[in-house]
Amino acid sequence: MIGLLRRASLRDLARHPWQSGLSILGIALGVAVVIAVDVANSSATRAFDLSVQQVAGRATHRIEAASGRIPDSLFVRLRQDLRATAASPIIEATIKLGSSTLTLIGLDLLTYTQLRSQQDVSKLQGNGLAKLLSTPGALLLDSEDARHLGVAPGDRIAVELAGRQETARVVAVMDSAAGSSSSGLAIADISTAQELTGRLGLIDHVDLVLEADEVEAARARLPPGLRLVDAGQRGETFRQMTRAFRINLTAMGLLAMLVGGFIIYNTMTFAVLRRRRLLGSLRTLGCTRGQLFSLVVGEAMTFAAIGALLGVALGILTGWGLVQLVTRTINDLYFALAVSSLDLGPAALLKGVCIGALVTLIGALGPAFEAARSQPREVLQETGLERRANRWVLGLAMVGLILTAIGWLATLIPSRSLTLGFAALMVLILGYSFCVPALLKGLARSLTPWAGRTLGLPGLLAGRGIDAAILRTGIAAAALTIAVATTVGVGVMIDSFRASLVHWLAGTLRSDIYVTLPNDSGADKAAGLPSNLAESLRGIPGIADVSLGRAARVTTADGSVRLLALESSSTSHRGFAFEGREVEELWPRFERGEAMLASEPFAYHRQLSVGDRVGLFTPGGWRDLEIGGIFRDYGSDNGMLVLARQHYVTLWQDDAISSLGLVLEPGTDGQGVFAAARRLVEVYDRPILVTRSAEIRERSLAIFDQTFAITQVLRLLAIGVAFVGILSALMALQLERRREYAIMRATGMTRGQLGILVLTQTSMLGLAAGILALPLGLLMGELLIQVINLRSFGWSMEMTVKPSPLISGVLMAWLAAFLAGVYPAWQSTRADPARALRAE
Amino acid sequence: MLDAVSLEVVPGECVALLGRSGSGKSTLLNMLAGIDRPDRGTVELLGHHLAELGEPALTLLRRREIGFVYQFFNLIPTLKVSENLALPLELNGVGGRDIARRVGTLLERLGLGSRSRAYPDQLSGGEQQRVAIGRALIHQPSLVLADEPTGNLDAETGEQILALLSELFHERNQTLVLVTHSLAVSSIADRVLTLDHGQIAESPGDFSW
Repeated sequence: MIGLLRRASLRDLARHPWQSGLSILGIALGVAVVIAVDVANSSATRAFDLSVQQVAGRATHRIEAASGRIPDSLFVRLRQDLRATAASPIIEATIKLGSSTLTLIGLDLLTYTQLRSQQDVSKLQGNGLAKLLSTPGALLLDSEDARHLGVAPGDRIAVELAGRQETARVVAVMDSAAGSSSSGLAIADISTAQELTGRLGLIDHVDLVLEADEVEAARARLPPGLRLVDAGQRGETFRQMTRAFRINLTAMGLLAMLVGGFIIYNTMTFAVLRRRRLLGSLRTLGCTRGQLFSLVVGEAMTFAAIGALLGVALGILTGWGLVQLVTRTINDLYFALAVSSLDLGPAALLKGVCIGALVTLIGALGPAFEAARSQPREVLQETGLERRANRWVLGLAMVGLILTAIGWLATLIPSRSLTLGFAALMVLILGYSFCVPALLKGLARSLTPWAGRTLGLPGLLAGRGIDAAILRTGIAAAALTIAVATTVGVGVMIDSFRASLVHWLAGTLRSDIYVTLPNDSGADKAAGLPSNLAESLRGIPGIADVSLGRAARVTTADGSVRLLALESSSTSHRGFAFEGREVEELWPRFERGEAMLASEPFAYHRQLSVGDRVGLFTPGGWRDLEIGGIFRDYGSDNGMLVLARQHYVTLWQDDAISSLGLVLEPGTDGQGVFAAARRLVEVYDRPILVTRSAEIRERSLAIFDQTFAITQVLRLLAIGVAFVGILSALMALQLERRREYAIMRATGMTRGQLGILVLTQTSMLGLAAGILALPLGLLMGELLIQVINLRSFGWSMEMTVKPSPLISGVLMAWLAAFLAGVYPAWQSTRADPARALRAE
Repeated sequence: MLDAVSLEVVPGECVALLGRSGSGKSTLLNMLAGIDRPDRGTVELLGHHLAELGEPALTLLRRREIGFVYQFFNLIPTLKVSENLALPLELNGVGGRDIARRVGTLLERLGLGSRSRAYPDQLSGGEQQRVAIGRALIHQPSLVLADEPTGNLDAETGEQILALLSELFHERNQTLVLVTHSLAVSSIADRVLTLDHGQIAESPGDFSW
């Protein structure tokens, strides 16, 4: 573009600092959300990769046992048989040191040095390898963690592991080097780890280095019940487990960016409308369509450049807050993870900037084409565009209806693709937003008489103003509608999810009191409740029945999965709510071990149905078991299997119990039984938890609310972006009407009446956007439940519509629009009518 | 709007078009500039049949050969006086040094030497119209089209502007088509045409506007 045109355009942006600033803020917020979500996701993944890498080192493979543990003696034999270059026994456990959750890694330090890089080994040797071997309870911490915990070499520290308290000594700290951080790890010698975890004589798995040509031979030499897996598989497992969660976050970020795109479209359209005479003048002077197109796109790109820079800074700041929420959710839903630093790779930042630039470009294309279409005669004719507005609004609504229908139909395609689900949702949202100007026109027309009767002339003018300036008001309302519909949709989804969870918990928690090992360490094969505990508890007066459960992790061909071995009481069968059909005579077959139950997510992700068989890795080798029924389960999105305990004991040779459910006789004093049970478990030397089912219910719901905290934050961010949008739109609208308002002032309208006019108009706009957001919000809620949640997590649920998200959505829209109208109202009433009338 | 209008303007001629509001004066002006196209008939400008030219060619023709003066000035509000004058030259690819020289000369000629760094909203109506005239003439177009050039000015300023336009037009030997509803304005024209109900006549007749 030539110099003077560029100069004129930049000066125009500078002359409208509010509009330019708000556009830049809109882009910045959108870019910030995208970057923050990306950085939080990649930081969590990177932290996991680092911890895997830190634990595995140069190890190429890992030996795992079907029973979950490998005896020391078997490891010694394995090391001889496999003739691996290096092999180290490993113990891995989640421990709490002070307020930090870390992963305890116990390893054979002498062999370990063969599995590490030279850099790691020298770091370890320089940091007291000898002390680790010789000091009882010795731990090695990363310098970052040590600083966070306020401990130095030589300090004693309390270790909490599965409810047990132990004491360890920090013998050394390792400096965090770039790219090889040990943050989140506590390293100990294998014998120390065995003592701390109570896994005496047992190890969790074996890490070893195998050459490529040794792998098959090693696999063949393994005894039944052990299997050889690739060391890199864990990172992949993490990605698969958290994929849906990460995609959901990314989609929320993109939604914020979509609202940002509306702001750009809005701003650039205003900029074009405001200057239509000027653009016409330029055309008569000989400016080509291409030059005007470049002028508008260039302006938008200037916004994009500044907005993206701000967005990067804001994204990094937000990312740090978001990563804490992401980590907390991963900790709640998946596994312990500590993220000590942000993964600020240039790719993530560049992606945010590119998306920001792309959305800005798309947002600016329409106005740029409109500018290029400017006719020289528009210098003489005032309202070329306004005259086309009616046709434009109707045409847009038609396109919108078609897009909405396409989006809706796309969700009906029998697919499991989450990306397709989100794409369909986005098309539907976009389509609906195209219908908003036409719907707003209709609403404004129906609200105007009421506003006129209530507020007199200002009310009448306010309503007619929305209709008359539909090009501008329609776009502003569309942006607000999308943002509010998102909060309504997500609100409905969360309410539905919560209601389903409450219903599910009520069905699942059939017992009145539960006796368990702390921290669900039932998954720890070595741990178990005392064998005589069930019998002792049955002796407490008032207990009608006791159900026995064993929680374990078992291996399937697609990775490990939670398994619950259930010896049910007479009531616990009723706790399962089945989806679809069940096999005939399910319960007798279940008790005989001929069928097992699969949770809905397990079956959904593996595309299994009743009657299909699943291979499970047992100490006796692979066993195929039939799925007898698919039950609803919100405990884990990675799925769960339920097996008759007797059958589990036979297959896994593990008769330990990890949970007991106590069913009280009707009319029994629950408090008394609870106290008696607590007294009873206190005599044992290990920590045992006695919990009322109501407490578990409350805790589960608290975790649920905590898990959705991140969603709430992203909802608020989307509303923030929309608020900026509506403020920007209203500012521009009022600015454009300065002359009109000046005429009104000159003809006798008071400042107060003018203020009422502006605020009534913005309130009507907000109210209309809020009302229009409801159908879209409900539709989004329905799709989030029926499509997105199902495809993400495999959870199905019933839609529950409470009035609160709907009412708060409408109020939020009204409040955002009202607040956004305050400054323009103040500005309009302060404007000097004479000056405004003089201005052309 | 226009009915069987036949009009020939020769180079160097100044033609005034008089008519009531809605008589089709501005439409005729737009057709001469290729902004509007007639349903029937042809418009020939400097040997070009405008109907045969595509949009890009029309734009280039306007850029090189036509200068516009409007009733409401239509200056670029974000460009200073000197920059507004320079814009047609820059669009026509004139070099920076040449632009500065020609702008400087014209500013003096327009009596705006001291206002070169002012923005349009810092000027009076008369000053703004001087800039608009300067912008229409600076690239020495063959044809200058002026639509009510004094319509937005008081009588005294209007006279001054008209005198300036007449002087510059005669100095540069350009062709001027002037649209107005004022007989006084049409006094600078070599030929006065009247438009009434889309019909053209060679004399002002008995119009009293």
